[in-house]
Amino acid sequence: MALRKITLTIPQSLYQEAKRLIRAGYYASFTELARAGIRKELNELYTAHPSLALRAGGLMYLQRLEEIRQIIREAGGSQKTEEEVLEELRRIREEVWRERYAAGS
Amino acid sequence: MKSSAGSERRYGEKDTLLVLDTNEYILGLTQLKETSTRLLDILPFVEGLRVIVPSTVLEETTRNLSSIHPILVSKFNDLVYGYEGFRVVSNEDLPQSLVKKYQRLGLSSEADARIGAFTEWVEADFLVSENRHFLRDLQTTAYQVLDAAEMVRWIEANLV
Repeated sequence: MALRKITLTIPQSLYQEAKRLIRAGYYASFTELARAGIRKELNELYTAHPSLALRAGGLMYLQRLEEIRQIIREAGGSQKTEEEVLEELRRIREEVWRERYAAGS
Repeated sequence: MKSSAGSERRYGEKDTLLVLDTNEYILGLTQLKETSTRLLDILPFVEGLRVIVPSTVLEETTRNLSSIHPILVSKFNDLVYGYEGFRVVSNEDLPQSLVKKYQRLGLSSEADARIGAFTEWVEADFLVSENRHFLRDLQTTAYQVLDAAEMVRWIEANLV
C-alpha cells in the first residue's frame, strides 16, 4: 500500500487528549489514531451518502446496470436455473469459437 | 499484485486486473446468483480495480442477453464501453502457443482455453467464473481463478 506523509495542525487540547489515549495504550501512535479516526469518519459518511463513495462514472454505471436488470425483469427474467444458464453459455461459447476460429482451420 | 513487482503491464499498471467470465455477467445481470450480482454491484465503489473484457466474452454475453430482449445488446455495450472501470480488449491476436499451453493446463475445450490464455496474455490478476472447468481443472500460477463469492470476499478484504 502506498503511503503519503502529511503535516497535521490541530488544537493543542485535541493533541493532549490524543497523547493521553496513546500513553494509556489505546493506540500505538498518533498516526494510528489519526488513521482510525479518518476511516471511521469515511465509513459513516459513505453509509449515510453512498454516492460519495463512487468512482468517476460510477453513478452512470449503476443506473445502466439497474436499467438492464429492469428490462430483464419486465421481460419475465431469464426463465432458467443457474445450471441451465451455465449450460447455455457453454453452447454459446462453442458456437462463437466455431464461427470465429474453427471455420478456417 | 503483479504491478508491485515493477514490471510494466499493458492494461492498468497500478490496478488489480480482473477478467470476468460470461457467466458472471449473465448471472449478475439476471440476478440469478447473489454473489455474481454483488460482484457487478460493488465494482464502481472500489478504487484500483479494472475489469478487462475479452471481445468474445462481450459477444457471448450480448448473444445470450438478446434472447431475453434485443434492446439488451445496446444496453450492455453502453454499460461496458461507458464506464472507465471496464476495458474491452480483442482476443483475435492471442498467440496460439498460449492457447495450446492452457489446453495442456487442463482446459480441454479450445474455446475455454482461449479465455484462460487471454487472462495470462493481458497479465490479469484474477479470472472470475462459475465454470467448473476453470475452477476445478485449470492449473496455473499466472493468476488466481476464483468464483464470484471468493472474489467479493477478496475485494472486501483487500480493496474496500
